[in-house]
Parts: sequence; structure tokens; C-alpha cells
Amino acid sequence: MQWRHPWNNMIPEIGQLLMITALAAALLQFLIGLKLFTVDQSLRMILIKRFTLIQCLSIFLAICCLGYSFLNDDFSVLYIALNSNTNLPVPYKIAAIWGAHEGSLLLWMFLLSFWGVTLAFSKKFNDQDKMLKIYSLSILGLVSLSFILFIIYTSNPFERIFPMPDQGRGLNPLLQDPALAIHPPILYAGYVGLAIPFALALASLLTPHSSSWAGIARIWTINSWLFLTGGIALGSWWAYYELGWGGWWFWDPVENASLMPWLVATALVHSLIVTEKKGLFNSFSTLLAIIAFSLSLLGTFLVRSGVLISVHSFASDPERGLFILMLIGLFTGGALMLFALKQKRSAPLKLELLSRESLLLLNNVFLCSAAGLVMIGTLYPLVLELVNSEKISVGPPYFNFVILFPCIPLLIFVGLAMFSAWNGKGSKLLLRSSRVALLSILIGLVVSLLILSYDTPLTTIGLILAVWTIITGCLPLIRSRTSSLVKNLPMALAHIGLGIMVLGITVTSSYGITFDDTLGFGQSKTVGEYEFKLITINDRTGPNYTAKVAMVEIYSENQKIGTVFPEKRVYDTTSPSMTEAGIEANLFRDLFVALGEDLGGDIWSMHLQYKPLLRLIWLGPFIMILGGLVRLFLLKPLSETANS
Amino acid sequence: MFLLLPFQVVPDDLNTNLTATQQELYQGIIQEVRCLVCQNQSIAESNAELAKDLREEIFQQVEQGRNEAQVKSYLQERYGDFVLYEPSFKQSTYFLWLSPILILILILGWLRKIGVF
Repeated sequence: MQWRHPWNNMIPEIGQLLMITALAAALLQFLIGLKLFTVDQSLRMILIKRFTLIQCLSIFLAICCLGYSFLNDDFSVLYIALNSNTNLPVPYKIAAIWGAHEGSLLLWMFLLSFWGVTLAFSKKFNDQDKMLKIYSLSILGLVSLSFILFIIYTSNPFERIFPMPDQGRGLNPLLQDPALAIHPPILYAGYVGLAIPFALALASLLTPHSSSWAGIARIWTINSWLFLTGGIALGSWWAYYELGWGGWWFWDPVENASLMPWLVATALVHSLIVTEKKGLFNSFSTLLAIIAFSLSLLGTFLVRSGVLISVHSFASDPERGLFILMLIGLFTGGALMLFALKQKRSAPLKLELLSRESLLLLNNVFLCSAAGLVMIGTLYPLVLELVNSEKISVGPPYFNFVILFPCIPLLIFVGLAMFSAWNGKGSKLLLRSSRVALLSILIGLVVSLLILSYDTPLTTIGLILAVWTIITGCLPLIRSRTSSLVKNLPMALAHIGLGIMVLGITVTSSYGITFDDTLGFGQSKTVGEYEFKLITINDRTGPNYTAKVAMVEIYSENQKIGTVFPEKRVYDTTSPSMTEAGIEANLFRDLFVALGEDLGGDIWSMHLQYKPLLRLIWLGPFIMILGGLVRLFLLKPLSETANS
Repeated sequence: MFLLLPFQVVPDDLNTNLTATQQELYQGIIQEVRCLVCQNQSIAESNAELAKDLREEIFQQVEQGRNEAQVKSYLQERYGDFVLYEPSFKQSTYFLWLSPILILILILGWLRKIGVF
């Protein structure tokens, strides 16, 4: 065993102390909001900013301590002994910090406190909004307080183990991949970012005179929406090339847990536009902000409590799950109660049916219904098992079907809204949109019937809606003068991205071809217009695994277009093998090869796929993200527009 | 026992090609069948032994010309409802399957109440 400097043994203890410092800071941050120490507003402001900063720094340093111990292979820390070993490459030792439950909660906590700091030092608040800021930071303090307590009591990453093992168990090989290493921080940043609009919404209920919460909340909602979009897309891309059979969305409860907050965050972004610009839907926006963060918490509960593995494993070790359930009860219940008591009663709306306000409202309702359906499908088997011990599975066939109910009208209205005006009349709207609608239908029909072969009615509908969404998404760019081009760019990009994604999903799921077959060396198999030829299979040794590497040549019309090297890896630490797919891709099609089983005699089972336009499924979100980035960084600071 | 031997499955059987339609059917089915020993994976994704056996079983049934409903009801009889990712429509799943319609009614009611139309 290597010699270690005695200081190194103290590092986890320092981390532990930093967690307690953060706990104290969060407590003070919360209490200052309650007028406990001083009533002087500017003093409270200074103090609450300081404590927010101290909390964030402490947690950051605690993560550094954990990382330091990871790099030092300090297996006296239980978490490190379980999730690392001496052979693990250094970048993955760092990624292993959030590779399992305890560390990922620590990261979750750090991001929460970091967003808190960005809010505390934000210049977007006017002078009248000081109390809004103090209250929202105080609420964030309460959220932090609960989660730091949760970490310290149920999921302490600094817990020691005695006697100290000589070697750690190693990181789950599934997680040893660049995309998955950065996936959790991005997704978590999105999840916890929703705590900011949540806190602002509650603070706005406590400060009835402040009206600018919507504009401020919109920035942080777009911000976390960006991270959620990026995190989900990255996760989907990772699943595609790493899980071995080339699917890109599985309706797995863990995926659903991230999709639900995304859907509601999308609705919230749109609802806040109306609240900010027209002063309408204030209650609806407040409610959405509460729901969005509650769904983040629900996602955390689903992923972290073990309830998904089995209701019974949850029941036998319910400590963590019950703690999170209590937090959901506290925050969701408390927030809804506050909402019921304090919401401003507004006069009944008088909306034109097809005005921009109505269409935005309708679409937000469809987005929320989609989230609701995903939630019902995800929770139903859990509830059914609890209630009458019946075990059922709810998976892709269910979700792919029910999600159409909100999504088809959603896409129709997304396009229609581009023709609408605030308080506009329905008849004008239909007149203006009819030409583009006819054009989209025509293009959709021609493409699905003549260019591609007819598949199902749903394919044709999907194509029409994709074309409709893309064209209507371009309209604000075509019609606007150059001065307002940048102003319309975020919306246009977000909607074009959506249309491109719908196009990708429709074409790839309707016209993709998958083949499972056996191939000997030198044999080939034709999938669609492509011929896959297995040349040979060799052994390879990586840093902490051994692999079988196949060489597969791909031909199209007897022209060689590429060679791929799918792998099957066996990591030293665990028995099941990992598939690394071989992918030859361009914008128009993906050719995918995964290595299956060795059947003896140089014959292997292979998984072959031709997926047209698959890349669009990730290109779409990428364009959406660009739109969000333009909104956040290229447009003038929002406070100026709010004042004008 | 010896009488059974000629029918035993040998890996070479896998080498038999399915037609394109049969492949599509096979791929469709294995993505909708849950691997019972894994953590929420279909047998298409899973590398577990049970998943391999089930894939082989389904492959052969498809090869013998059985359709989706026949294969699925075979699996359901053998392993219960849990094995299928598509929950069947029965008393305990009425709410699950009817939820899109219920939500639609709720939305219409709510929009009416707040005065959108």
C-alpha cells in the first residue's frame, strides 16, 4: 500500500465539517426571511446574500474534498470504496463523484446553492423588488436546509468504513462514458434550476405589490429549461450508442422523471410570457412554477428512493424514500396552501377563442396533460402493486399511444399561434393561416405518398405536422424587419427545432429497419439498401477492460461507404458485458451495428439497423437550445424591457 | 429421451433467416416484452440469460409463423401480465387506459369555467 500524507486522512472530515457549515448557513438564510434578527431591509439583504454565498462555497469545497479523496483512492470512505478503484482512469474518478446516490445528491445540492447565488447577486431586481428577493432567497434557504439534512442523515458521502479495504469495487461500467459523465450535472442543473421560479412564485404570493416576478422567473426558467433539454437529449444519445440495441427513448421511469419537469417547464416559459407582457394568467404561472419544482422533487424521489426497482425493496428500507416523500409533502403541500390562501382573485377572463393568449393557454394545458399522462403511466404500476399487489408493466406501447392525444393538438396550435395576435380575432387568424396549412398538408402528403412509401395514417399526420411546425417556425424570421429579427429568433429557433425533432421521430420510427441475424467471417447481410459485411473479430485490451472488436464493412450499391468497429467489453470488476455500438452516420441516416453473442465457429449474432433521419431527433433539441441561448445572452437584459 | 433429441435447439437454428416482415414482427415483439430479472429493460436491451432464452423462443415462434397476439398470449400465460409492456385492458387498468379521455374532459371543463369559451 502506498504511503499517504497524514493530512489526506483528514480531508473527508473537513468535507463533513463543510457540510455542517452549509447547513448552518442555509438555516440562517431561511431565518433572515422571517424577520427574526433584524427588520432593517438593507441589512437583511446584505446578510442573506452573504449566507447564500457561504452555503454555496461550503458545498463546493465539500465536493472538492470528496474529489480529492477520490483521486487519492481513499477507500476508508465507504462511498469511494463502492464506486472507484485504483485502475479507474482519472476523468472517471472525478465523474464518479456523482456516479451514485450520495455524491449525486451532493452535486444536486451544490447546483441548487449555485443557482441561489446567481439569484442573490442578480441585477434584474428593481428597488421595489427587494422583499421579493429576500423572500425567495429565504425559501431557497429552506429547500437547501432540508436537502443538506437529507444528505447528512440518510446519504452521507463522507461516511467511513472500517477496516479499510485495499481495493475499491469500481465504477459501474455503464457510467464510464464521456456523455454519461457530463449527463448528470447538466440534468441536475435543470432539475434544481426549477427551484428558482418556485421560490420566486411563492415570494410573489408574499409580496402582493411586486409585479415583476414573472420576468425574473422567466430567465431562470429558460435557463433550467436549457439544461433539462440538453440533459435529456444527451441521455437519449448516450442510451442510443451505449445500451446496445439502438433505441433512443425507452419510456423508462427514470427518463419519464426528467420528461415531466421538462414539459411543465416548457409550459411555464410560455405562461410567464403572458404574465409578464399582459399581466394575465398570474395564478396559472404561479401554479405551474409550483408544479414544475414538485415534479423535480418527484423525479428525485422516483430515482433515489429505490421505489422503481421494487415497491418491496422500498418498503424494506424506506428511510431515504420517506424523507423525500416528506419533503414533497412539505414543499408541494405548503406551496399549494400558500397559493390557496394568498392568490389574487382575478376577474373571469374574457378571451377571444383564437387570440394569442388563448392559444398559449391551450398549449400550456396540453403540455401539462402530457406531463399528467406520463405521470399516470409511471406511477400506476407502483400504486397498483401497493393497493392490490397486482404487478403490471406500463411501457412504450402505452406511452407512445396516449402521448398522441395531447401532442397532435399541441403541434397544430403551436403553428396556429404564430399567426395570432394579442387579443386577436379567430376569423382573421384562420384566414391568414389557411395558405400555410394547405401548403403543409400538400408537402406532407406528397412526401409520405410519393417520395417515401405510404406507411400508416399516423406517419402522414406526423409528416404534415412536422412541416407545419417548421414552416410556421420560420415565419417570424421571414416577416419581421431586420431590427426585430434577433427578438424573434429565440422563438423561431425553438419551434423549428421542435418541428425538426418531430420529423426525425416520425421518419425514423416509420421507415427504420432493424435486423437481428447471425454472420460468419466474410458473410454479409443486406438491410434496406445497405450491405453489412463482417470481416473479422479481434481481441483488444483497454485500461480496465478486455474487448472483442469486430470489423464490419458497409456497402451501398457495391460502393464501400464505411467501416465500423462495434465492441463487446468485459470490465474487470463486473461480469455482464457492455456493448459499444459501431455507428456510421450522417445527417440523413444512421447505420448501426452491435455485436451480439459468440455462437462458436467464428459465427456471431449481430444487431443491424438502418435509421433514416435519426440525427434530427438530437439536432432538434440542439436548435431549441440555441434559441434559448440567444434569448438569454443576445437579447437585452429583461429588466429593461420590463420597465419600458 | 432420445426421441426428443432431433428437436433440441442448437445454435445453428438461429442461422435460419427470417423474412423482412418476420424480422419486423420479431423486433416489435421483443421491444414490448419485459426482461423479468433486470431493472426495467425490455428483452431487446437486456444481456441476461433469461432475455436471451426468451428472444430465442420468440424468434422460433415467429419463424414458425405465429402472429403477435399468439406469441404475446403465450408469454402472458407463462409469466403473467408483468411480462408485457402493454398493460391489458381490464378492471384494474380502466383508469390507466381512459386517463387521456378523462384529462380531456377535465381540460374542457376548466377552460369553460375560466371563460376561454
